[in-house]
Amino acid sequence: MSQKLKSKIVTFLLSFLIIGFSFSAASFAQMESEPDQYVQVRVIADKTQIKGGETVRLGVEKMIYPQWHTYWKNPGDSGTPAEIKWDLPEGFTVSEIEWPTASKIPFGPLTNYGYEGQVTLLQTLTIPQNIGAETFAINGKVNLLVCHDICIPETHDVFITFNGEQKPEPQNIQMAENKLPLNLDWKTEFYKDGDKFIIKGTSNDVSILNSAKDAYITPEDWGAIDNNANATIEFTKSGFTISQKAGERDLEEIKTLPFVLTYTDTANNKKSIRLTANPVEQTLALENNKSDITIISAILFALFGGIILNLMPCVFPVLSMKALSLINLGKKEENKARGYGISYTLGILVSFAFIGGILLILKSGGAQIGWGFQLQNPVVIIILAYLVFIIGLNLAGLFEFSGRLGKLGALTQKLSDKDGHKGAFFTGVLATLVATPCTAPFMGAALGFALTQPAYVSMIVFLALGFGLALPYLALCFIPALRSKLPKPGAWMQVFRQFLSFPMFLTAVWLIWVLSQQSGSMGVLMGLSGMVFITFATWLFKILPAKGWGRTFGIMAMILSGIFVATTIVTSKTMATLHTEEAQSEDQNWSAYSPQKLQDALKGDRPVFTNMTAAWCITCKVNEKVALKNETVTRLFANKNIEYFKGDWTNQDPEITQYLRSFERSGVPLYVYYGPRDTQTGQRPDPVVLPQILTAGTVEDVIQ
Amino acid sequence: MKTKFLTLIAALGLIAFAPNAHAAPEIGQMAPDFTATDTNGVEHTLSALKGKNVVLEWSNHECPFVKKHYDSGNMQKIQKEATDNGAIWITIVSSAEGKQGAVNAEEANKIMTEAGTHSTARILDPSGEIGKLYDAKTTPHMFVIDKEGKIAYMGAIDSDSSFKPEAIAGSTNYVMEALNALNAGENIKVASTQPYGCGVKY
Repeated sequence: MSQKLKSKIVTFLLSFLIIGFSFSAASFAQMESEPDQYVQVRVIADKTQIKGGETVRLGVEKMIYPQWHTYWKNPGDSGTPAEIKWDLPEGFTVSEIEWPTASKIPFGPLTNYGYEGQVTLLQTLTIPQNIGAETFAINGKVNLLVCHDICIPETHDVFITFNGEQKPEPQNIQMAENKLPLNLDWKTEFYKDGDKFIIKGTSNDVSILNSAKDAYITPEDWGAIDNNANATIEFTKSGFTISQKAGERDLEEIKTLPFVLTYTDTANNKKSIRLTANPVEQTLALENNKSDITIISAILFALFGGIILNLMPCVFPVLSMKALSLINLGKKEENKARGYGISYTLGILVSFAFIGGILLILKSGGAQIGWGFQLQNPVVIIILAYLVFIIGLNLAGLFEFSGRLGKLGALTQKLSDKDGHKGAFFTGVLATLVATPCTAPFMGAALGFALTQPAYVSMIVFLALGFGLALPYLALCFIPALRSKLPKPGAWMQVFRQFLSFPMFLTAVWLIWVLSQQSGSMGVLMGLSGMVFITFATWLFKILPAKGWGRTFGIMAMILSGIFVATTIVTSKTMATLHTEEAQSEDQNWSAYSPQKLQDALKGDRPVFTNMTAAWCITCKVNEKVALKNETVTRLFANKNIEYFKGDWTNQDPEITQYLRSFERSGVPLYVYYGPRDTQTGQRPDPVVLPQILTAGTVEDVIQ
Repeated sequence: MKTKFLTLIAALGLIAFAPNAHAAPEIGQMAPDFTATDTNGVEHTLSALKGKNVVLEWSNHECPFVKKHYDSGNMQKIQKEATDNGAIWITIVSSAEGKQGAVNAEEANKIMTEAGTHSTARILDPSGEIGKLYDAKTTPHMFVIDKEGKIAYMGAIDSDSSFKPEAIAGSTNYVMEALNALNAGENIKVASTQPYGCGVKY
């Protein structure tokens, strides 16, 4: 026998002894160095004195080294489940493994399903009739993968002896049984809604789920859900709805999906139920997906939606002006009117084809976007806001588009001149532009359908929407009878025009609100200031003297305003980045400041860091971005086990004001570091106030 | 509701900022493109390899599942067969610096030579950029890309997820099945499977 094998056997026997004497995970804690094997395995049974024809509950018990894990039936993103291979004497049968409920174990960007600490895999062993009272053993092999940062495969030789010395362990078996999920036969169905995998379960009696919390699911098959994502679970009176980002697998491949729903009940016990979900019946699925829209009805919807768009506050003013200008066309100019109608329609269709084309190209490139993707970019939002604002100013009469502004004038007004066709075309483009903010919310169903279809169908639906938008004006151009219904021109037109500026301003307000969601309060500040500068520049333009210093100053001021407006557009994206980071609180490593919490923390031994900040404090945001949220710094915070408190001074808060005063400050930012308590003296060092402009380096220096 | 809305806005924002917002690789879709320099200093651009079948193999030479296929000679065998039939085989190591399997170019070449691999090139991806582009989860995690640059197969190397080399004999090698089907102009029977192995050490 080789030396190596001998030592293995000794270890094996020793480990057996250790488990025998102190049956707890503590046995590992006593080991100073890394063990030979990271899992200790033994076999237990609810009874060990048996007769022929009986069944025995067998448990393969794994004691896993602290912080290491083994895998569940579906290991998740990596790993592999344990294998148990019994060398069964003739006539014996053993059932499939029953797996206790698994935990979600994150590993970098991956998520595994598995076990830490102690776990027992259960099986049922059936003894044949012809077995007497003699002692016998059953041998087996357990192949398992145990991982921490790295993975180690282990093979364990195991055995169980019946009708001999080995003691039954019904209590340990019972404990293992309690960790199995409860099998239920609720009606459970799954389907996909966009990029979400949805499971719906219903039952007459769902009391078991009363006030369930911290719920998550572990499917027994792979690829249905994105293991990394978190489930959104809604519990209702008649069941539950689970929604989690879908996995990479084609739904049609999944015929049936058993899964375990794990949750914490009112008594804070971890509970789990096992259900089997089936694909939703075809018709039901369609209903749920609201995609029982056929191509024809999608086109009709789009067409109708396009017509409705004409009434939207963003579009209506532009088109009304356009329509009114037709009044002036005499009877003889019918051909001209038709021509304008066609140019205008072309303008709209070309714009829709352009936006739709970009969307389809991006989508085929794999980007997860939908209609309205343009509005996800704050740069587009702010440009649109300025555009409708300028149109509003124009309608309100602050300025006229004169010849000096060149082609821009053609957009809203000039129709009867020789540029008419071009003008009509660009009005179409403009109408599309200002209509975009309104399309997304109202056209969701048809456009959503369009995007799931082949590219040419999507394009037809987009174009139908555009044609709908063009239709009312086109009708006016082609049907003189309709034109004659228009009111006679007169002074009222001026008043009406001014009135129409208000819907435009409202649209601008709405866009700025959207911007506030994307770019936060700083984005709004910049965006609104931009509007003031636009108005200022327009006003300057109106009063500009023909010559002299006044003209030079005026032009310079206009240029400066222009630069400012351009800056707001360019920086809106940066603001949005800052804002988004603000909104992501998932890996938040701080808690909100309160004097009580700080005092409590200072009584303890851990180092403490405070950060007094406010939403409107751009220095604070920049500091957070470059220093406090810097990866090295967050890791340092975690390593040094620093308690991090953040005080938000965006709104008045006397407690924070007081804290600022205690450091002789009257405003934010303020960063203070309290070093850890000295183990020798039991004292804390004096708190250190950090500079108001931080770099990752300064923070590291102070904390090190 | 409010948090949902904020999350939504944040998500929308993220999409807008990520210039290369990519979706997870999908069968039949274009394989995400990348350009990288291999351990011999040669630059490879995936999209420039159109006209040839390409195999991407995620590796970590210390991972027991990778060892299963290299120590048994199985990986080298299929690499040889694939490259003899005109395929390009790229081995990618996405282990981050200091993590298991992380090597420099010199070490990587030494490992390759010692193992006698027939892989066309070995690319080191310590930033995990290429790995995340493909959602590579395990070592080995395999992708087969057809001559048009579309993903034809992704997932496990074969049908037996055991770490025991004995399991190879009785298993179906999905990568070879996919390559053979591509060469014969037939449909690929199994186009997507659950990858098995050690997690990629990002």
